[in-house]
Amino acid sequence: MRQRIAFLFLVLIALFINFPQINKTAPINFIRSSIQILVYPLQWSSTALVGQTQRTLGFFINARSAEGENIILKEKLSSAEAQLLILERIEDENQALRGALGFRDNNPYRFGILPAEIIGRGDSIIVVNRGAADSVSEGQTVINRSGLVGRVGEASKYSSKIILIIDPASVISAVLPRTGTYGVVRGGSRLTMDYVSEGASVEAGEKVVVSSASTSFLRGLPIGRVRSVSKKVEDLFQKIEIDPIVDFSKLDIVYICQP
Amino acid sequence: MSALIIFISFVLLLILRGLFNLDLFPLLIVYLAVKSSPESTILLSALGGFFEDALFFPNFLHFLSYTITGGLALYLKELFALEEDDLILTLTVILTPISILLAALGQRFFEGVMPSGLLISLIRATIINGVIVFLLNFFFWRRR
Repeated sequence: MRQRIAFLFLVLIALFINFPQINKTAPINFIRSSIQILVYPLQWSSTALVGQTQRTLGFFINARSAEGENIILKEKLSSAEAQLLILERIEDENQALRGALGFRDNNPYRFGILPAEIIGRGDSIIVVNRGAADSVSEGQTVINRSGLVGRVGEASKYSSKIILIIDPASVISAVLPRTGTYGVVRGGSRLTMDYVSEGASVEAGEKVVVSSASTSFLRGLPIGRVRSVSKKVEDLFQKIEIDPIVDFSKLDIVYICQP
Repeated sequence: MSALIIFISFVLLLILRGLFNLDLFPLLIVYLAVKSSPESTILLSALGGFFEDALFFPNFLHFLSYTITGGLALYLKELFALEEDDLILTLTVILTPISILLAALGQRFFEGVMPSGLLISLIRATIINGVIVFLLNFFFWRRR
């Protein structure tokens, strides 16, 4: 009898706590944040241990190919440095032109990037080792070297939960830069782009980026590439499937964009 | 069962969940249901789900699903006339997908969306948990 009461009581609490009106209240956030702070040292140390083990094993496995890889990486680095010089010149020129034309300085790409290491993984969430102590706050955009990863969903003192763009509830205003066609990218087991009108030209392989209409993410960040397009005569919109540009199974370091 | 072993398993499962995204809590729930008292089974199931959600999820759906799974484990163990180790294996294989499905249905109800790759994660978790129990049975628990 006692166990039945305990069971029903806990099920009721679990049901109650899941309602969005309760889920995000200050006491619940406080409990959640306290647990995150409490478990953070364990998460951090276990991630460090696993990472170090993988690196050590990798060192022995890849020792032979490391030298050749090193040469290739050096070449890539010098090429990237040269490209950066050119980009800096272009940016200066861009600034000068904007000044000359009297445009407002609203460059969205002027932000700091804070590198963060992954210390935990959920289904469509990752936990990183940066939190409010590093000025991370809810809603900040998260990228990696390939493109858009997600946004900060919750920041406790030393760690943050990043909601990935593959989360089923994720919705991003996107654009196909080739034609300027707007749409909405939705998360899920496969990213899809909705509300692209039936007449718009869409080709497999073309890039999809965040549109300037997005209020959650920085515009222009790459989301993915068109995988397939299907049109039905009776539909108003095309059905577009997208391959994310980021390989979420191999995420290691991510960057939090901070204003 | 010793409280220390439960505590260590609890922490270990949380760490493994974070490191490799493994759904190992149903295994602990079943083990508790078979070897421990009903009260501790339900309490630790709920606590496991609560901690997992606080750390890795934006909602508290595993709190709900693991609590129900704990209750189901206690109910189902009375239905099967099996030896302990076989019972643990059977219940793990039955309850792992159920716990994932319950969380998914909760997400559908509270957020209006189904989690991505549900079938794959369901099969993956069931196979992994089944194999782990089988190996534990084989190496540690079986006394024949």
